[in-house]
Amino acid sequence: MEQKILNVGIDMGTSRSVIAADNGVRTFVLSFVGYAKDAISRKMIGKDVVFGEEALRHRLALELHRPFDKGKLKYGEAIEKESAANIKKAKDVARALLKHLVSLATENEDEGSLIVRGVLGTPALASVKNKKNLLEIAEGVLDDVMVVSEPFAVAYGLNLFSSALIVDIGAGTVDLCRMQGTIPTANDQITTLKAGDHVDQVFLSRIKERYEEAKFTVSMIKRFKEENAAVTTVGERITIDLPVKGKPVPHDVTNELRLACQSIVPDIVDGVRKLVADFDPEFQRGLKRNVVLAGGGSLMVGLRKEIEDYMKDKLGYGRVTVVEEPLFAGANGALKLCKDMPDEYWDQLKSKKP
Amino acid sequence: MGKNTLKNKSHKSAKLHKAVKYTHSTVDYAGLVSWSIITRCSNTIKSSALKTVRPVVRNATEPFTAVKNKKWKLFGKKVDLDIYKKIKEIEEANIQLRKRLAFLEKHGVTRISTAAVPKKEKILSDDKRFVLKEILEDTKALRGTE
Repeated sequence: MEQKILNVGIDMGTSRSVIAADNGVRTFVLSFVGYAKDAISRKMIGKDVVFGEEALRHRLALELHRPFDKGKLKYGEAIEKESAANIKKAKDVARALLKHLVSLATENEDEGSLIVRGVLGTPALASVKNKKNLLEIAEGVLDDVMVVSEPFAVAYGLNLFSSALIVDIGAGTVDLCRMQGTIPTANDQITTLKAGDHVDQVFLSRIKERYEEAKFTVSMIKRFKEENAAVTTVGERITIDLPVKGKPVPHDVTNELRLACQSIVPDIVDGVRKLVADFDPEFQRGLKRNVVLAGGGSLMVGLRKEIEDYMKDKLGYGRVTVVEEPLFAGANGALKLCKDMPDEYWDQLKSKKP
Repeated sequence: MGKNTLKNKSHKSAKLHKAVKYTHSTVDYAGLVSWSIITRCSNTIKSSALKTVRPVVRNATEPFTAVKNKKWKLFGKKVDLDIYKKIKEIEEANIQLRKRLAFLEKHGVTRISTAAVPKKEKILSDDKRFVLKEILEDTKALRGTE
């Protein structure tokens, strides 16, 4: 039987996991894995494991897990402190999520004759341990796998190999990567932890501060933020219905949301400043002129303008653009890289498999 | 004497004529009676004979009927008029497809046989090849294979 090769690009994020495949499938799931708590919940849900939105919906009946934290596999960096059981559990959860993601891309394929090749994105400054963990998770799920820095995958997808600065704003991390015509090294990349989750926390604490009587959860706030996130001061007032003594009451959260979204900007601009400052002075202007935002965080209304204004203030000049599909930019780049990878390179990897 | 002879002759002729008439009537009557008997008999057996013979004949001639029907369909003598409309629609769709194909071919898309798709050679610039090689080496190092 003739074998078919399916290339996939995967971005396993703290909040969302995205997959893009060369058979046209492009989709994402929220990075939540839920296991049925007992026989009753199993009967109610109809299966043992559920993912994404469905897992969130049935969270009361599930043991809910989020396999990644701050862009890394949970417990992956602290083996000494964590029990082996926790580490194993985190890997199993991440593997289940990856398997589910790949199954979404292969559901219309004949799996018997299919070879799935994948490129996985990792945070810009992911440690060797974290990258190894990802490779280990992918073992048995993908036939061949490589890992690559996420902002570099974005740059590769956009053919931006020089004089560009990629800012990938995720939920757990913001990855900055300077492209100067070579493979970016550790000096060309910065990872900050003030990302989407940080916005949620700031937003939550500000609402709590202002509306003490209102009852709400992080997931309610997160969903609201994703639908309404804006940095701009112009536009309509933003209100959220929050229960007060059991009754939904509209609360004006325009300022709280704007301030929460703005809270990540200084660190991003500081990262940009650092990468620009130690770059060749002759090319600094080119770098400042080509700042590219990607990732789910770049969907915040007005963020591009806010960063530009900050850059003007701190660096004298700045021109920022947002990629066409911020959410899929990393996975699309990883897919392009996967497709471009010559067969002999994949073969080399296969021949060295232990 | 001569009178007697004549009278005798005319008497004989009348008797003969009468005998002929009786004979004719007898034959005529016998014919009618026979016809009547035959008709009555045939009417009696007709319905039961038809009941027996009709299915036998129908089954025996079935293959020929099928061939006959097929032949008419093939040669279009019993074809519904709607079929001409449908054929016309298909022909129009075909023309549209040909036009579309001509457009695609004009703009650089070529038609190839799927059975003989050649394996695509990946054409990469040296820079890209270098980048990809670096990623490969990085992954190999992570796997502890080198």
